[in-house]
Amino acid sequence: MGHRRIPRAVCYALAAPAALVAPAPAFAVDYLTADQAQALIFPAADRFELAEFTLTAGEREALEAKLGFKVRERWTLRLARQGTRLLGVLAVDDVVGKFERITFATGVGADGAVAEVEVLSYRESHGYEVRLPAWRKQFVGKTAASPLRVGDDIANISGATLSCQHLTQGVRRAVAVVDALLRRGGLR
Amino acid sequence: MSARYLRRARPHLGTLVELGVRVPEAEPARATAALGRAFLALAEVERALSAFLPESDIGRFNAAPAGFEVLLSDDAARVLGAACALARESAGLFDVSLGTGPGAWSLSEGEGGCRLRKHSPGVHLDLGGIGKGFAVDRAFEALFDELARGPEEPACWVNAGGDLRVSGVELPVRLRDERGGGAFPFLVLSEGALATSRFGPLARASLAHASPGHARYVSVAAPTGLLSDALTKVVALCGRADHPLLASHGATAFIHEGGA
Repeated sequence: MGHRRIPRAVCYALAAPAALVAPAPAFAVDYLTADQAQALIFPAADRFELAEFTLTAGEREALEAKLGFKVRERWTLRLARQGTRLLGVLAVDDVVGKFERITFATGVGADGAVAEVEVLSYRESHGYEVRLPAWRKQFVGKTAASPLRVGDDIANISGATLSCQHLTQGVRRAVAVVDALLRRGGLR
Repeated sequence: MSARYLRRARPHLGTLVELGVRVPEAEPARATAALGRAFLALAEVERALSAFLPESDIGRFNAAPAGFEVLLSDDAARVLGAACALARESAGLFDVSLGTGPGAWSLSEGEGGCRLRKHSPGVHLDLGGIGKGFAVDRAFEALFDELARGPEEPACWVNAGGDLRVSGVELPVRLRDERGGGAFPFLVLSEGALATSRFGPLARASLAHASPGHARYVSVAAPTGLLSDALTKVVALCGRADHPLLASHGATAFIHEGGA
């Protein structure tokens, strides 16, 4: 077993000037399916249960006042169990940013604390496309992982810092919803 | 046979961090182990460096009175040591105190490790210009180190919202046009690091000698994430892509318009 040193060199090739004229096609990366994410976040669980929850108008109002942004009514959560014991809850949600749509899974423990956040997929688009409802619809409910190849589907955008603000808000929302359901005794 | 890659992404460092590794054919579990180690490293660096966490070394330093001394974590010592050297080499252009007191803090090696001392009450340290690049390095080192225990050549990368480091694989990098949208082919990075900062309207900082109201991007390709991150700030502050500090660190800078 040879021990290799961490390389300390830089090597790159600039794109041809002609390539700079036209934007590259939008791209997408699938990292994990929701099933893979739940197994990663709750490795001790022996089963997962899909459950639908509806927030009452009062619950939504209280959550929106606390968070400062909209919370939808219906939530499909994955309950992680070991036998009959609830280990935690996985909420899959997505957020739309200026140039991207991120589907992510928030794992919340039975104590209401975040266990882990995993990004399931990332969709990059040109800014104007994000605002078109048709474009949004294209990705609703998509969970299949695509084969990974180096080359055309690697998302490496070097620009101004990709804001994570939407994702942070999305995580806060998921945690607050799970917390509200725990409080009402809806999660056992 | 085509190689298989494993990629994961989590929110860290105030952005989305993507890790990627080529899965070793003989021992695929090593890829998962490498990702796990790298995510742990990111969380560790975040705890040690964030100026916003009161319990971090930097948070404690910022809140303390003059005369305060703190024994630094290894991570904080590495970053501040590098920041000190860059400040000296750039004749003060690179300044993690952001003007609150470039000479009002010092490091000393002593019993138990490296100590940070505060000399005036007003000095605040902010590692925003160097910390992300360092975190990229730490995550990259964790990936590389784990993969290097196996028989295959490591191939891995870290992308923290545009701060990249890679080894053993060709990563096409695109530059985003913040105004019009769209991402344009920029370069292919196969070894080392690349960072890009935007300067101009709506950005936190502006580029020296650029007309106001004009957005510009500075990209720096360098051997490490820390250097590429820090050197974008040096280039922005002097407005020159040929600052001698770049060549002395084996780095190259590009000043460009977003997109075309």
